[in-house]
Amino acid sequence: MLLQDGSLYMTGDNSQGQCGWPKEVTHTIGWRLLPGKFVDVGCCWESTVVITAKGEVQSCGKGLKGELGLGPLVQRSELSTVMQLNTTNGSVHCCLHNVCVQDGAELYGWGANTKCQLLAPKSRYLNTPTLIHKGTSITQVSLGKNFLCFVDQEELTIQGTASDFLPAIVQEFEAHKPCVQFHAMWSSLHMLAPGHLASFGQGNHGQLFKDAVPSAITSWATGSEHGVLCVSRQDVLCWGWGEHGNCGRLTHDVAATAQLPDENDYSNQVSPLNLVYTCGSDPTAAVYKCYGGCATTWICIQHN
Amino acid sequence: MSTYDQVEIEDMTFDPDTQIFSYPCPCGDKFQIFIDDMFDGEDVAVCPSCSLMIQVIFEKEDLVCYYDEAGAQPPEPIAVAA
Repeated sequence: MLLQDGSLYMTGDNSQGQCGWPKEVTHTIGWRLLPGKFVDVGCCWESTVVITAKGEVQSCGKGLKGELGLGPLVQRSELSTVMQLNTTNGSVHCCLHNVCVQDGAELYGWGANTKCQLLAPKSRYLNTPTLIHKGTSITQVSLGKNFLCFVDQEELTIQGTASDFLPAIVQEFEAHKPCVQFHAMWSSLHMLAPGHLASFGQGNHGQLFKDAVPSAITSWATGSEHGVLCVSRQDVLCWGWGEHGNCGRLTHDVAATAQLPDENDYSNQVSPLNLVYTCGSDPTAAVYKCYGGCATTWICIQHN
Repeated sequence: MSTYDQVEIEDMTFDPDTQIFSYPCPCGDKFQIFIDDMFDGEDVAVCPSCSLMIQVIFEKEDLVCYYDEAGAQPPEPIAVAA
């Protein structure tokens, strides 16, 4: 969790050193502050990538397929320098491989490359940051588990498995650009434009959006195999794979189930667009942003 | 039986100590399959934390180098008396 003042808090599994704490700390339930200031953070499978306030890209954790970007080193429980950016204007994007944007113009990648998701020709992996694109205005980057999508100067590029859908995606993109935002689940790519949400890729667990697009979408995100929409900063709706309760329940009649109201009753494993949260009766609350993780939905609420 | 995805063996991680192949599951756990089961024809890896499964794409001869890495041999056929 990166705050606007550059403070970075970590929580969860640290068994591979992915939170940057000593290995004796196998996990933590509460949030712990990491020393230093940061401008961006991304979570890979068992590793973390950050950009420090001085423009250093650092990583920690475990990555057998080059995910640390530290050459042959596959495990490190302290943040270690992967590369030095020539600016603090950078961003990192992580899934099962990693990408870093330098100054909106250069795209560096490392990690698995068996599907040419980073670079052609295919290779097992790239274990150091490798320049994969040099442009002028990279505005969007989205990663699935074995593909990469980015927009540079309103030109769309897709590498890896999602390139199978390239003609259809380009057609939609050209029809709606420049007001287009991309987000990727692990196995599908989603494109939001005003009044329009198009999905491409794997849909065997409800991942492809098929409902009417709500008006006034104020925030949206994708998790591993589900999507999250916030409407009018009030309501949060989810769709896709919801086995772990991450898309809410379909049985809203509490009396009809033995579970507690907030407990997963497994009624919504393949979810249609479903309301999971509303600020509703609280006039002081508004949804600031929503996020998706591995079968988890995160909602950030602002209280005025 | 429908699976969540098909995954090539080269994209999986092999642990020579446990002789288990694994691959990330979108729930946060890992799909797992034992090399001897694959040698015996099994190609579905399961996740211990959810209902998802993947089909592993491989040829039997692909397993040879992994057995070598583990310093192990494929299982011998069991003779069954008539």
